[in-house]
Amino acid sequence: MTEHESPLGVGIVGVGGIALSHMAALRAMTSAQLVAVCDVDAARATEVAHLQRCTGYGSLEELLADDEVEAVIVCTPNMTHEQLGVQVLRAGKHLLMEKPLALTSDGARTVAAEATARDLALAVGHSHRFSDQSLAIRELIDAGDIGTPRFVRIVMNGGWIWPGWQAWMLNPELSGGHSLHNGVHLVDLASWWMGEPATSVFSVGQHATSEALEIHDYLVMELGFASGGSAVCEISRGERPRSTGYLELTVVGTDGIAARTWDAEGVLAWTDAGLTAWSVTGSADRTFVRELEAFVAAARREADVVPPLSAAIHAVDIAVASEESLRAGRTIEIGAPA
Amino acid sequence: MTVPLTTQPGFTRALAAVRGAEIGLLRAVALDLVAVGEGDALRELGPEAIELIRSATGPVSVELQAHATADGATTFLGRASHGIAVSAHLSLVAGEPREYLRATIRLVGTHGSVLVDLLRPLLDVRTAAGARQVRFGPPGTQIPAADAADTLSAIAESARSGRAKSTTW
Ligand SMILES: NC(=O)c1ccc[n+]([C@@H]2O[C@H](COP(=O)([O-])OP(=O)(O)OC[C@H]3O[C@@H](n4cnc5c(N)ncnc54)[C@H](O)[C@@H]3O)[C@@H](O)[C@H]2O)c1
Repeated sequence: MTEHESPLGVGIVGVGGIALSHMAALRAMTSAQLVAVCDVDAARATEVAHLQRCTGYGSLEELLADDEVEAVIVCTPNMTHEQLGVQVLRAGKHLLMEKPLALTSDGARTVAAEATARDLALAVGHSHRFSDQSLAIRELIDAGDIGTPRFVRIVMNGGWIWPGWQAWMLNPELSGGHSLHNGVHLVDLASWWMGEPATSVFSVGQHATSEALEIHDYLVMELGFASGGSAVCEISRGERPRSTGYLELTVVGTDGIAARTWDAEGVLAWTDAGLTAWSVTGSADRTFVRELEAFVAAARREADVVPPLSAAIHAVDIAVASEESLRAGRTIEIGAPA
Repeated sequence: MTVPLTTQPGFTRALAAVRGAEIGLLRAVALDLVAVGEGDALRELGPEAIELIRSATGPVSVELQAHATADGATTFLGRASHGIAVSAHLSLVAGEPREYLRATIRLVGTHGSVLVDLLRPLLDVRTAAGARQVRFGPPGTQIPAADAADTLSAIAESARSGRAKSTTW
């Protein structure tokens, strides 16, 4: 905030689960300020606006017409991203789009082209890039401590967290399937750490919780890279017991390994839930603040967006190919990134 | 790297959990073996890797896609019988002494999972001179070795061609 004395005015579209993380981050920041929210559920928008002391709208058109809103965070379900993204950018507002950027490769490029044409900042919420552990791994790689990365294993396995059968996350038409819904996070981390885009994907999925599921709640994506390197990205919402929470981040380089093991935070607890590793206050808290600070810097033209737009588009390309791999049961080659 | 990982007591215990259905039915296996050493990782570590996996899944057919770097670091993901997802990474880091840097296997079942650090049990010894680890405990039951040559050549062929291959282990 050296040049800009007034905080960036931010509006949030869709005030469901993830919007809470963005609102908490905004409260901790001085460079940006929540000025308005909107939701198709107008009553919810009003209630949230009251609690957040900002303006509540029942439609995006009203929020975009508010001059105090300089930038918008879209926190709506995945199938709305392309259309709402274009609408926000056409209104001349900077955009932080929750992941995935869109449900299709063409859709991702359509939103990106709109931002480029209007010279507006477009960032995509690949929030895992901003966690302490992800940054620490990237710093080790940049310092050359483990040599050239040639393998990444990312595991984010948990038990069931989604609501009932009608939930949009469970409908591949609405969420894009698990590759697009959560897989993009892992794809983005893997490509970022490997330092190159993936060129192929082979996926194995399971309907772990119920055969009636249309999405693969357990998903393993194997990415191939032009260097011969590879990544295995495993994401699950179907583990038993439901309290399962297993996280593993490993990068193997030509000279050594960096591994963030399940119990890396050093707090093991035996409770009625069994043995669990507890996270330490602070280790994840700064993630969304960092993500938003990077977005504000990009909107102020003080820095490039993080991740680069080409990486966010690449994550969609890979995820779309991963869903195709699940359907076809074979390896899918990916063209050059945007 | 003298003690076979298949005899590691934690792994033996985990296999008992799979056979006794303590974690339900097996639905995924994830194995990482990274060692200090020279040569081709698939040749050096592959037989032991296949042995570890086979002892968990039993003899099954698998459709797998592999990748390898020019210096032989190899990864594969496969869909084995009953839809079991099996992934493994094998690589060597040049240097001395020849020892494992990482050896873990995770067995995921329908009703729970087991993570085995194949380099434990061990003592963490930290002194002013530095830190080292001392393994202890008797090895578990020896698993009879079976031929992995066909599987290893299928993995190498998949990495070479960029295509998924069918094989058995
Ligand atoms: N970065 C992360 O780690 C992370 C985590 C969770 C979710 N997400 C992403 O955030 C987005 C939202 O997920 P969620 O879990 O918060 O969903 P949610 O269902 O909890 O909330 C979505 C909200 O959007 C509202 N909404 C739907 N359509 C709308 C429209 N056209 N205009 C305005 N409001 C609309 C809904 O009424 C609801 O309040 C998704 O894209 C998801 O992929 C990201």
